[in-house]
Amino acid sequence: MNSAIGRLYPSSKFCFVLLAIIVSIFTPGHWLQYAMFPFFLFLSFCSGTGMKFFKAFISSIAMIVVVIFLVQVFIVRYPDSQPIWGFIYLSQNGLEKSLGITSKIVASASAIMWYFQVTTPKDMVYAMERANWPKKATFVVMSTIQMVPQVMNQAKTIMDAQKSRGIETEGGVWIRLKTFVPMLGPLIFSLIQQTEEHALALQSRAFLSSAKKTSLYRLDKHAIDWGIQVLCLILFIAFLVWRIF
Amino acid sequence: MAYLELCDVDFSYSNGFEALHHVSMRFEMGEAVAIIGQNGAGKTTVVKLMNGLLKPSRGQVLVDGVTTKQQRTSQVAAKVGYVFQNPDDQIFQDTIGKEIAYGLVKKKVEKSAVKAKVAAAARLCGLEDEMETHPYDLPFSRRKFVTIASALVMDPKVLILDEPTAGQDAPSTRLLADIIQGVMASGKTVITITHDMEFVTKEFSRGIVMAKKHVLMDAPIAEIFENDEVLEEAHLKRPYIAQLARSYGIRGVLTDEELLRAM
Repeated sequence: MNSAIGRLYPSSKFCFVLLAIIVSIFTPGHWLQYAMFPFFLFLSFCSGTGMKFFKAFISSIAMIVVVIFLVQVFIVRYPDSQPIWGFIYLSQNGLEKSLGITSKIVASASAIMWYFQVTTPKDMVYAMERANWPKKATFVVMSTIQMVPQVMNQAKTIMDAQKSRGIETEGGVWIRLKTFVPMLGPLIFSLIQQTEEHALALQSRAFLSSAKKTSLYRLDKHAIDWGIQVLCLILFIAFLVWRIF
Repeated sequence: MAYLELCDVDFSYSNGFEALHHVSMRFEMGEAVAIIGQNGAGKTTVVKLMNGLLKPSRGQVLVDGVTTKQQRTSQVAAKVGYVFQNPDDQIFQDTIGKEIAYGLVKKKVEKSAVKAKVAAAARLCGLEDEMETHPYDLPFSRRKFVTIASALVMDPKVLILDEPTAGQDAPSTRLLADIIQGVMASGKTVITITHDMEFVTKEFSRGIVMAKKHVLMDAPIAEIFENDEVLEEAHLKRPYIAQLARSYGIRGVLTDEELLRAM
């Protein structure tokens, strides 16, 4: 996030991501969409988050894409489905449909993952506040972004607490499942407790005050940010013209 | 041979932060040891290594002669119980009785034995009248005793308490002292992380001072509080009675009884 790309103003990166998603969804075919993955991987390496991006993509989106592909091609029945074995069929229509769906998922997910890996929540919130977003909306966005790592940390602490009283949590899927269920209780309880404490802390710090907020943190929009946003707008108009006329 | 031993241990977290460097310590059975030092000295990391929650990056942690690297956390935890600082990380049953019994039930211990062990642990922790109470109906300070009872009931040879006196009133602190004495009397070892120096002087005979990833001093408590250099480096203060005595030029005093005798 300390790279030149990471330091760009959040809205500049957001405009670029939005453009990439719109172009991916409304362009026919699937090669351009699939090409978004290597493109954002390259951008991630330039932003210093290459390996993080690659690992996150492989462990999440790639799995979903493979499952959708297999289900569409071999399981879902189309008029041209040819039986292979038991409930397994092969379909050309299914292949085309799966390429269409998965390519759009790959493109959109790559863009969104890159954005969140190169933009800190602090920068996002700052930019939203400066753009006069409603305070509650800003808070909801920030808590949602921060919730996943918080929940993961909390889950790890609770799991450790169970291990440290001699309860088996390591081993096969069944053992893990058996320990995961009792863990949900303290996890949900502590999350509710944290939310209540956050709400109290915010109220005690004049969260709902109508006065304009000041910030010690500064993030300036530079010429390059304006350049990127204008370029994105021009490319968007050009894309519209191409697709409509 | 010591029951629990750390041999020249280094530990670094996955983000590369080194929390311990060349740490060695050993514990015999029947000891009560206080680990003291300022925040960030590496105290919690040390006890997590003893319990098998963390495995050393270098060196060895031996529990009953076996390295923790070759054992799962639950195996080590059966010998070295660890009570977390925050009880809410651990409690999840709907009654205190069930919470204390959970580990034994999971280990498929016979019902009558579970009942007897749970009753004994609850009595030791002052919870015998709360067995049907929901744990979250008790205040935070008493929930801590629920987690202590849950660890005690598993009958570990070593019991580790992380900041047990934090947020406790005087009667609860006395109850904690009784628990520590009771565990020691049964020949087991109690290791406690604490910032409460009064509690340290009253309940512990041996102390380990940690600062900046190292062990600064491992000695009887009275010797630690006589060592100005160590106290300064670890940013520790003497107990109030010792500070008062020193202001009158009386040294070697740690408790009010000792001060009365010296005067």
